[in-house]
Amino acid sequence: MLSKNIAIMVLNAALSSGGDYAEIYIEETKSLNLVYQENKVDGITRSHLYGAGIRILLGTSSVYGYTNDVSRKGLLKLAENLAARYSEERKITVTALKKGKVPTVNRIEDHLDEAPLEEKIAMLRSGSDAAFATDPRIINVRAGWYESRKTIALYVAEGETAYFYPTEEERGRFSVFATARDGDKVEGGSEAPGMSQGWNYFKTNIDPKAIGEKAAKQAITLLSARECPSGRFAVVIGNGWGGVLFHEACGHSLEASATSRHLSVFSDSIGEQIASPIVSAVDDGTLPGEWGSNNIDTEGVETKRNMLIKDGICVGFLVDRLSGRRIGMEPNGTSRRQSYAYEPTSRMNNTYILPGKDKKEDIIADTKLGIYVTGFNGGSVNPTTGEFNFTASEAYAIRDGKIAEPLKGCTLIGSGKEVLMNIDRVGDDLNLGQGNCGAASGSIPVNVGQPTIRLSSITVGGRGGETL
Amino acid sequence: MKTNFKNLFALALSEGIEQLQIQYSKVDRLSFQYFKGEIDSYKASTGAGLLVTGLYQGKICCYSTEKFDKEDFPSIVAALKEGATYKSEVSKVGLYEGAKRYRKKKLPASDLGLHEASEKIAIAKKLAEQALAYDPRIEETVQVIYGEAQREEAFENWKGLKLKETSSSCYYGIDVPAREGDVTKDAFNIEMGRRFDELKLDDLAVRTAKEVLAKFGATSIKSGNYPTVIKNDVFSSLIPYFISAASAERLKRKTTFLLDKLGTKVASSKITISEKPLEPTLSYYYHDDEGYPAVTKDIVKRGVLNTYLYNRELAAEMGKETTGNGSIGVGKIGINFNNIFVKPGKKTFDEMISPIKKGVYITDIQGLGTGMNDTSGDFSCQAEGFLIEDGKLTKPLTLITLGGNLVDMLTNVKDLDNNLSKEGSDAYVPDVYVKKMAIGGI
Repeated sequence: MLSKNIAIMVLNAALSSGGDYAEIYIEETKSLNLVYQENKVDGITRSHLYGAGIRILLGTSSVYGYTNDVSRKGLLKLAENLAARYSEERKITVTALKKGKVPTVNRIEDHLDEAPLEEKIAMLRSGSDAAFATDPRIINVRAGWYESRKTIALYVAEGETAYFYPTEEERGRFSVFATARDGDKVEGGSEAPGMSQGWNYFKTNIDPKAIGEKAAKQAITLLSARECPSGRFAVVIGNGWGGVLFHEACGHSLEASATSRHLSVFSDSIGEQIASPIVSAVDDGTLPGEWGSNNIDTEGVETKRNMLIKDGICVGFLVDRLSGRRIGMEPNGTSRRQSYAYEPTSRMNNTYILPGKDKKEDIIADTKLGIYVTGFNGGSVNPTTGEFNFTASEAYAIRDGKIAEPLKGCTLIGSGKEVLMNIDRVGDDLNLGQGNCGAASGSIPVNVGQPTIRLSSITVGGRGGETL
Repeated sequence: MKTNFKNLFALALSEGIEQLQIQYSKVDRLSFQYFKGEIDSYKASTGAGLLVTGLYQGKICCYSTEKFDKEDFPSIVAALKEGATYKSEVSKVGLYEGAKRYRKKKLPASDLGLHEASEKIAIAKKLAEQALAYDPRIEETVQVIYGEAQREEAFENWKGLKLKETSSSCYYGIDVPAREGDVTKDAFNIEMGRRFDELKLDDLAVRTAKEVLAKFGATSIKSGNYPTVIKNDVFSSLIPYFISAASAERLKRKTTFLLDKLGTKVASSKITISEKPLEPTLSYYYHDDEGYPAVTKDIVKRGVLNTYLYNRELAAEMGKETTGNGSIGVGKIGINFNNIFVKPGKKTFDEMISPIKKGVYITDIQGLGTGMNDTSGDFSCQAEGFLIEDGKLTKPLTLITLGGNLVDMLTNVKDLDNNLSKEGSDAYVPDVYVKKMAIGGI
C-alpha cells in the first residue's frame, strides 16, 4: 500500500501529459502448488508475485506499463515514462485521495495459506488412493492443490479526487488427474473443483474420494469408448461445464473489447435476436464464494449481475472502462486481468445460461439419434468470425432416447450466430463448472454454466467414420 | 544485474541447505497496437524474477519470486526448507556443479535500441495501409501489433558457476478482416526475429490480405478420410505434443504412448526429428535449467525412436546419460525441450501435392490445446484450408475438423516438402503430406 502523498504524486505524474484517467494497480500474490503423485508428495512450490501496473487513458487510447520496483522512485519512473507517450496539456490534478467502496462478495476468514499443509496433503492422498482403488487399470494419479492469495491496492484517478480500493482475491482448487492403461491404450480423466472460499469450506464440501473416483472412472470409460463419428448430429450437452459452449460460442463475442471495435459478430446486436427464444444468459460476478467472483473488478468497479441475453434477444455486453468510452456504455464490473503484468480488459466472471423448464431425462428421451456430451476439456473462438470449437472429454451415443455406448475424441465446431439459434431444449438443472480462461489480459479463473441443453444440429468431428 | 546473490548463497548454506542454484531473468518489453489510424494501446514494462532451487536433507526444492532484495533472503531460504521437508524422495544426483566447457553461439547484437519508436509506429501504419489498399472488401478494422523484448538471464550455483546470456526479439503481426455480404473472415500473420533489421515485412500485409480474400466462398466438405497436406505452421504446433511424449518422466510413469517404443518404428522412415539447441533461432539455448550444456540429438531417426529425453535425475534412475533437457517444474526438476527440427524433403510444395487426386490442405487449426489428448496422442480440432483436386488447390474449406493420432499421422507421412516453418515457430518443420486423415464436415 502506498502512502497518500506518494499515490497522489504518482497519479499526477501519470496525468502530466493530458491523460484523462490514471490508475495504479499494486499486487502481491502468494501462491502454493502442491503435487501428490506415485503415493508421495512429488513437489511443493511456493511463488511470490510482486509488482505494479500503471495505466493512462486519453480518450479511447491507452498506455500501460508495469514494474517490479514498487518504490516511490520506481513508480514515478514508470509513470513518467508512460506519460511521455502523450503531449497534451494537463487536464487533471489530483488533490485528494479517498477510500472507494469495496463490497464483500467473497467473505473468507479462514485463509487458505493459514491452513496446515498436512491437511492439504491428506486431502490429496485421499483423492489419489480413491482413484487407484477404482480399477486396477489406473496406473498413475496426479493429485494437486493450488491456492493463491492476491492482495491488491488499486488507485484510480478520473478527477481531482482519486479513489483507493484495497481488496483481496483468494482461491483454492483441488484436482485429480488419473491415467488408465490397457495394453497399448492409454487414457486420462480429470476432475478439478475450485472456489473463492476458505479452508473450512474445502474440508466440509469437497469429497476428495468422490473426486478421485470420478476422474478414474472417466479414464476407464474412455478405454472402451469408440471413436466419435464425424458429421452433423443432434447433441445434448450436459449441465455445468457444458456451459463452455456458451462461453466460446457467445461470451467472448459479447466482450466490449471486441464489440466496441467492430471486431465481433455481435458488435451491433443489442436489441436483436441472436439466440433461440428459449435462451437467456447472464454474467454474474457477485455469486458469493464462486470461482469467478470478485468484490470489485480490476478497475475498481463493483461486480454485477449483467443480463446478456433475454429470451433470445441480446441485451448487454461485458463492458470495461476503455471499451465503454468507445461505445458510450458504463463499465459493468467485468474488467479483469491475470496480474499487474496485464492491461485489464472486458472479460467474463461467472457466465451461464439460465434454467428452462425441461427435465434432463425428457430431453434425452426425446432424442432419437444423437450424442450426449457430459465432460469437457474446453475450447476457443475467433470473435471476429464467430467460429468456435470445443472438445468433449466424455460423451455417449444416444439411440432411441437412451444413453448408449461411450464415445471419445469429439470436437464440436460451429459459428456462434448459428449455434445459439439451434438450441431447441433447455433443462431445469443449472450447474456451474470451473475453468481458466486465456485471452488478452491473461489467464483468469471463470465459471461457465448451464442446465442440460440440446442443439438440434451441430458439426461434430471425430475419427470414427460417418455413422453414429 | 543489480542484486548481488552472494549473501543468498551464504545464508542458504549456513542454514543447512547443501546445494543451491539461482536463475535470474529480467525482461524489458515494448509493444503497441495500431488500429484505425492511431496507436490505441502502448505498453512499456520491465519485469524481473528469480527461480531458486536447492538441495536440503538430500531433497530438491524450488521457489520462485519477484521479491528478492536482501531482506527477502531469509523467507526464500525458509520456503526452500519447507518444500524439502514435506517431500520424501531423496535425490540420487543432487544439483549440477557445472561443466568445464560450454559451447555457445555468438548471437547477433540487438539493434532494437537503434530504431526509434516513431519508426516502428510508421511501419505499423504502412502495413495497415497496404492491407487496406489491397481490396475494398478489407475492413477498416485492420490491426497491426508490434512487440519487442530484451532479455538478460543469469544462472549461478553454489560452486561459483556463472552463466549469462542476453538476447532480443521483436515481431510485427497483422490481423486483416474482410467482409463480403454477410460473411466476415479474417487472417493473421506474424513475422518474428532477433533483430529489427531482419524482419521480413515486404509482403506481410499483402500476403495476409490475399489469404483472407481466398477464404470467401468457403464451404464444408463431406466427412471422411482424405489424403491430407498439413501446412508447416500447423504441423509445427502438432510436433511438440509428440516430443513431450518422449519425456523420461512420462516414461517412468507409463503415461506416454511412446512407452516401450525405443528402437522401434514410430513414424514413416521419411521422418527425422532432432533437437538442435545451438541453432541460433529464437528457441536457442546453450544450457538447460540444471546448468548442463546443451545436447544436440536425433529423437526420431528415419522413423525410429532414437532416445527419450532425460534430466540428470531420471537418467541416473534409468541408467542413461542426461540429454540436457532438465527444466524446473513444480517443486522439482522436470523435462522440457526447445528448438525442434523436422528434416525437410527436397520437393517444392506444388511438386509434393501434384500426385493428389482429391485431398485436403489444412492451413489453420484451432482448439488444439483442448482437442489434444496427450496421454493417447489422439486429437481432433477445428480446421480450415483448401480442397486439393488433381494436384492443385481449388475451393476454400471452413468449419471442418481434423482428427488423428500423432503416431498414426507420422507413420502415414508420404512426403515432406522443402519449405521450413518461419522464425518463432513452435518447431521448425516443413509442409507434410499424410496418406489419410479424418476430416469432419457435413
